[in-house]
Amino acid sequence: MASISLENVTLDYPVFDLNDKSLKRRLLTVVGGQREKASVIRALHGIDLEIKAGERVGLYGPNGSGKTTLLRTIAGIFPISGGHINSTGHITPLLGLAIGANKEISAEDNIRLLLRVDGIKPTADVVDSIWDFTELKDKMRRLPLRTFSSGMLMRVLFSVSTAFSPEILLLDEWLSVVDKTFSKKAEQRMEDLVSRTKILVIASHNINMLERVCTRIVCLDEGRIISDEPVVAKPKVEEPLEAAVHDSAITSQGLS
Amino acid sequence: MLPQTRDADTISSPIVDDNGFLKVEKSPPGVVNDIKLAFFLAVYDVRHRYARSIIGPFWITLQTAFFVGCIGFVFSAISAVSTRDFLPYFAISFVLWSFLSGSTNNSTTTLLDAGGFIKDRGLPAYVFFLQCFFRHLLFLAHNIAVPILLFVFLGGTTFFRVIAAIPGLVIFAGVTLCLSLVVGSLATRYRDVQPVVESLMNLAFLASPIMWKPDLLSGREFLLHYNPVVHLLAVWRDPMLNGVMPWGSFAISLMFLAVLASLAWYALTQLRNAPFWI
Repeated sequence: MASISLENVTLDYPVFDLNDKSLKRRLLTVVGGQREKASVIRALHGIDLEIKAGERVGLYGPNGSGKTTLLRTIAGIFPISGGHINSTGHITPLLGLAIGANKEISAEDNIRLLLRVDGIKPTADVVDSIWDFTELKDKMRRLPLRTFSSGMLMRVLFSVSTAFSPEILLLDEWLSVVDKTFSKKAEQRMEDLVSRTKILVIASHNINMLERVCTRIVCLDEGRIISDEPVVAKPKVEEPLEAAVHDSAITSQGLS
Repeated sequence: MLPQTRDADTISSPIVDDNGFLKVEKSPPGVVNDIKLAFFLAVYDVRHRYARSIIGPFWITLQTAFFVGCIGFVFSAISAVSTRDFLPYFAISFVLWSFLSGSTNNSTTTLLDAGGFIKDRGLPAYVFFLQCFFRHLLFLAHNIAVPILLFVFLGGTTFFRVIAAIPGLVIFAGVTLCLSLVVGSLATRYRDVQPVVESLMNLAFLASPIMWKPDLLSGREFLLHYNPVVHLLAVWRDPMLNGVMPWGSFAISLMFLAVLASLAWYALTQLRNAPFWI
């Protein structure tokens, strides 16, 4: 059974400026008897959040409200400064599509690499089926990613990132591909993916998308939860689906 | 509401289910999985660095052979020993030193390169130190061909002496791994550490008997006694080349390893803060 439970969680984010990053300075202040404390920003204030299996939670709020920080905290990436986190089920954070892709190596090898990172053995069958989903020409498989247009690149990264449905999925923005022919298919894949994960937590600025996808919306401001309400079911409209695809930002265009 | 997970018997294709998702068991997360991932990433590094050449990673071997050949001739002349005697000695020492210094120097930047994996995919930071260690272990596996060929053609050791060197080599590798973890963590937290490490590594290379033989220092042996690198080299080089077990050096090296291992343990506990550093 998948569940996430945050109890009075606070997170202090240490902000290291140039002085804090210098060992020489640090040693000098210790020798000099002064004790400078690195400045800290309280990024999350007493967060209480209970998520049960089957819920799809949208995190909504302006820039810097702590959406991504909360996702990273749930994923266990940031160590918390206070409170308790209990979660059952395997958490898969997918906070950027292009993470780990290497532009110098071939598309096929990138698929293998990204699968490994997810703990999946990249067998030929798996790689073939991911490649088929991209609908790109077969001869491109062995070309380095840097020769791909940004649209093609997104197809590859999207296909591999969404090939498996994880138990608990954390997303920073809805994943989409801005590509006329591919976007419908990508949207369908995302709908299926979300429907199969036991818990989805997604952060976004796009309230329309969140209301469409989620069962519950948590509003954040300056690291505090200001509202937490279930989404009232609206009559389903077919049209806005495509509009939402173009609205929602593609998480990370550039390669890290 | 979208439908929940379907029954297994509605699935038609062997690897893809009716929603187009791949049915593959994920390997359970844990240390074993992390080590496997680190090794896989290291193999990828080595393979792709030499992807466009025919002899592939053996360029590393060729490069080392060239360097060892040139320096071997010059330094055997400078220290007035026979080239035949000096070449295998220098080759094995240089190749293993490159492993230690390469892994340590590389560890100072490895987390910064892996920032996305750590912050956005939640991979544990130590994976990338392991990756760095494995990468240099693979380089070593290619480079070792040079001293092996020299030993075969010029002599200098026997099979049993090589076996006797194994415990020392294990200590040497352990020191390399712990040193990479400690130095790498420190250099990620404090950015001014990296150039210091680099110059210390260069200093250690020149001040230790790698390009020259220890007997050159006759009369000033204290320069050898207080240098930990000398003992780390002796624990495998003495059994391999001279057939003697330097027990004193073993004691010092093991103590050095114990100190480094506890520092590495401390570094591992601090690495949970690594997402804040990068």
